[in-house]
Order: sequence, then structure tokens, then C-alpha cells
Amino acid sequence: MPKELNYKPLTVDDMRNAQQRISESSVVRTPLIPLNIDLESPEIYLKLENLQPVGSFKLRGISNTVRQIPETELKDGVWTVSAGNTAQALAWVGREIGITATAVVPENAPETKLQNIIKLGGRFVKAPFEEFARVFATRTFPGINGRFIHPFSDPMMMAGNATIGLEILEDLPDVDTVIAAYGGGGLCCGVGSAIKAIKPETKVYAAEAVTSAPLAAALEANLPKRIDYSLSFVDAIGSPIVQPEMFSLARQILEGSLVVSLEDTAEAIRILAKHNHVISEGGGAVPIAAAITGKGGNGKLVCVVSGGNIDPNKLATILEGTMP
Amino acid sequence: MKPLKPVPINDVREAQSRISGVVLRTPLIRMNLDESESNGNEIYLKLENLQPSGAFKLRGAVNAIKLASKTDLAKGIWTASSGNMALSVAWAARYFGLKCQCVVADISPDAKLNAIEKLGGGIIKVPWLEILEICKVHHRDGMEGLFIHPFSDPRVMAGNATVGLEIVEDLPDVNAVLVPLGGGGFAASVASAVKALKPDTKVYAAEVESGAAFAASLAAGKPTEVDHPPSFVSGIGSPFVFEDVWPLIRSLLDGSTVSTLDDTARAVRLVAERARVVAEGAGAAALAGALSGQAGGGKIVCVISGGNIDSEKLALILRGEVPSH
Repeated sequence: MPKELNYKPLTVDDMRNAQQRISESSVVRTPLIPLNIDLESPEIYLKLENLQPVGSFKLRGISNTVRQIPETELKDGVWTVSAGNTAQALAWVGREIGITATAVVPENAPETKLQNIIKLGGRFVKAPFEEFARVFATRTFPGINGRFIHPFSDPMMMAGNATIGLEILEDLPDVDTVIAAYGGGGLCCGVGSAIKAIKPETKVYAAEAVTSAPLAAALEANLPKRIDYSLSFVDAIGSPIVQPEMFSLARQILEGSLVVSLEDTAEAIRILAKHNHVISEGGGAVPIAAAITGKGGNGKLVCVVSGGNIDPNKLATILEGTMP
Repeated sequence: MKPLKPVPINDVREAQSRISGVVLRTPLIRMNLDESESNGNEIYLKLENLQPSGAFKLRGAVNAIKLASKTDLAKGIWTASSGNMALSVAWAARYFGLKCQCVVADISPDAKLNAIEKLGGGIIKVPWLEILEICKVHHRDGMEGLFIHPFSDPRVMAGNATVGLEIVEDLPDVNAVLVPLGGGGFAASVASAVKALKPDTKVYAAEVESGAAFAASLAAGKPTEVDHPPSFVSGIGSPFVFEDVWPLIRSLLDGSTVSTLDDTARAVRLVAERARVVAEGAGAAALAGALSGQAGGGKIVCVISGGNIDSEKLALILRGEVPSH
């Protein structure tokens, strides 16, 4: 096992440097737009990370990370543990700078996700689920050399994600509250670091789906706690337990975790498509579900739409008013 | 009827500062396509579907309202449209606190009509041909207030032309721009700006097979009527080109790309999957045109003009079907 990790909140310099670094890459400075529904309060805004070239915010952290690693460490390529958004973002960056990108994926990963990795020029290695899940802590996998890129638990990743927070404050300086989905915690802690460093009175919440809300459970128990976990269409977030090093950071930065139902999440996806013409994956819609149902309070509220990678058939089912 | 003139680039620049803060400066994003899908070209989308009213029309409407005097606006505003202009005028009317009446085609999708009512706009449903007539004569008996023409009006055109200005600002070495052609005013406006700033950039109209009057007129060398059966692509398509618009689009545009309804539906699906946004049929027609190779190669910008499509129709398209109308 690697040495015990202990993160400090990022400094403003870390984040500004990341912003400079990714401005020279294919990362999009995404727009912040109002949610087009009539509510007296709160006033909801959307930060559209689904518009990134591979459809999720992950491109920010990975671009920031890979661009800081010395060339000698990249000669055997880069690898990560993910079948979804991180794997796609890493393949994209690998292709962009001309190095091999490999993803360790769970053996039951859907074929469409694996095809997406291949299409972007990446490779994958299948592993049984337990072995796959262990890599998040061990950061090693037999037979893969290369430089490991952790999907969330890494200050460089979080600094890349923090640029979302910087942009939110540039576009809406008087924001009252920011909500982002909690998967591994890298998005919440990154965005939260930026917001708290620059405008500490702004509240930052995590959002989770009720079928898999390990942060809410950990905050209640005051330590990482294994939870009952069930799979749903909200597949980009959720895990049986929070990583301890991320929990200690999240606890310092976040106001709490807002837990939403799958029904409210599906409704949020419908609203986004119908009224804002934006397609969100389940994880991306969880913050909007929290905001619309009033869990994020009043005032000016920004929801990070973290990604838009949803299977077209599942999206069709949701648009028709049923649950996938 | 006086023929329309190209929009002077100074008018476009003034419109840009006039509408800024109300209208969204939409992003231009590079589409992530496989080599085989894009023929090696770089395809970009100008996302006008992200406007608060769901379409580019807000630009022209806001510019026209801001240029009008208090007296002009005292009795409110009205428009005639197949949907998107009405929606944008209603949105702008609410924003500026004005009374609003919308004469809309009875074939307009429910999504659009419901949204207009929600914004507080009054609705008068008429047959589609009557909309075309109002657009020709700029008048309808019994209406009061300032008429905001959906396309054939210098103020509206200057506002809409800001789309072209932004495209060249964001992608100075653009080779071709595809603009959905409905009345023709939008395509002419965008072309005015693009050609003024970068004369060697090609600008094409994007049409669909059900109502490609401009392509037919170009082929015949004069305004020509075509069949216009109803389709799921409700935002564009017309049985004829307007006489006041014809000389302008003939001189400004480099041609028309005509797409099948099947290809247009596929483009709606591709935009959903790869750009993660919702395009209505008219909006996706530009992408269908670009992917067909009719607009040449290089860096190609497709204007996704709007995103107002019924959820049921979008669901059908996502499942690989083509809605019947």
C-alpha cells in the first residue's frame, strides 16, 4: 500500500497555474447559463461541463495533470482505473500529446463504453470488479507500467477541476451556493477549494443519488462507512464507500451532501433537455434535482452539469417519462 | 417590395454591443467525430439552441426592441412565425415588460406553443400559408403594436448577423459556414457578416428535401415553387423564396446543401450523442449538410439554430426512428 495520503486544500496559485495550463489545451471554457424554468427562488444557473469534447469535466483534471509530468515519466504511457468518463478523457489527452493511454475496466463494463475508449485511440484491460475497485487505493496493476493517473485522488487532478470554480466566480461573482456531484470527491473538493479560497462565504454542497450516497453516510457517522449500494442510470457517481483521504478533505470544504431520488434526477434530465436543450447524464443532473427540490436553499445557485454521456436509449426512456 | 440589402458590418458590431447582456454569446464547440464520419474535416457547432428562448431569433428580436422608441412599444409587440420567432419575441417581451401577440402556424410543435404561453405571449393560430402572407406584406388586420418581422427587417437582420461575427471571432480561419434557411433572412444576415470579415469563407444555406425552395430556385435561376409536405423539421422549409430576399441570398450565398429527412434525423441524434445538446430538425440540417460533403472540406461551422423539439419526437430519433411529421 502507498503511504497514507493527507491533502490540504489547494492554494489559489495551484488553481491559477492549472487555469493557465489548460487554456493551452482542448479544454473548453464552458458557459454558465440560467436554468429556463420559472421559480421564485432559487435562481439556478448551469455550468455546462457536458460541452467538453469528451462530454465531461474530467478533461480539465487530466489535462492539468499530464501536462505537468516530465516527458521521461510519460515514455511508457499513462493509465487509469475507469470504464467511463476518466477513461475517455485520458484517451483523448493521450491522443492529443501522442502517448499510449490504458484504462483498467471492470469485466462487466458495457461494450459501448469500451468502444468509446478504442475510438479515441485508447486501450483497456479487463479486471474482476474487486480487483478493479482495489486499484483506487493501491494505484498498481500487474503488467501495467506507465504513469498512473488517479481519477480523483490527486492534487493535480483537483487543481484542474478547481478551474470550474474559478470560472463560476468570474461569471457570477455574487453566487451564493455551488452544488456538484460527489463521485470520488475530486470534483467537489476541486471546485470547493476554489470557491472557498476566493469567496469563503459561498456555500458548496455535494450531491448524491439516494441509491448510492456514501458521503452522506460518512458525514453522519463522521468516518468512511460502507453502505448498501445499488446500480442505477446514475452511473458516473456512487460507490460503496468514500476514499478516506478524500473524506477528510471533503469534510473541511463542503457544507454537506444533498441526497436526491432517482425520480427527481430523471425529472431534472427532462427539464434540462426540454427547457435548456442540454443533455446531461444522471450524475450531471443530480445537483439540479437538489436545487429544484429546494435542498440547496435560496439565492443564486450554480449547479455543475458534470457530464453528458448517457446512453441514447436510456435518455429516450427518460424523455418518455419513465425510469430506465 | 424593396429588395433587401446586405447588413453593413458596422450595424452588426453595434447590434453586438446592444444585445450583449440579454442574449447569450453562445459557444462554438468542436465536434468529436471519427475520421470516417467527418472525412477528415473539422466540424464545429455554433450552439444557438442554448439561447434562453432556444433559438438565434432572440438576437434579432432584442436588437429590434432596443432600437424602437417608447412610443413604438407603447401598444406592445407582435410577430408571425412557425414558432421560434414567436418564442423569442415572447421571451424578449417578458424581459422588457411589453405586451406580446404571436401569430403562429397551426403546424407548430406543442413544445413551442406551450412555451410561448408560459412566457405570457398571446397566441393566434392560423394556417401556415397565412404566416407566409403576413411575412410578405408585413401586415395583418386587427393587430396592434410594433410588428417584428421574423427575418425581413434590417434591425432583426443586424441582430441575427452577430452569429456570423462571433463565428469569425472564435474561428478566424473558418472555411465554410452552413446556416439553416427558412425565410432566408438569417442565412443572408450571417453571410453578410462572414463575407464582410472574411470574403473567401463559403456560406451555404442548409435545406431539407421537404421544401428546398432555394436550391430549386438556384437551379432554375429564378424564384421557383416546390412541394412542402409537413415534416418533423418545422423550423425551416418553404414552398417558395420571398421575392425581397431572393436577390440577396442569390448573391451572398455560395449554394444550398439539401439533406434528406433521414440524414437530418441522424444528425439530431449525432448532436445529442457527441455534443450533448438538443437540436431541432432545422438546427441539425446544417450538420447533415456538412457531413454529406456538399459544403466542401476544411474547418466547417454548422449553425445549430435552435433546440425546440417535442420530447416525444426527440425520443423517437434517439431510438433510431424518423418522426412522421
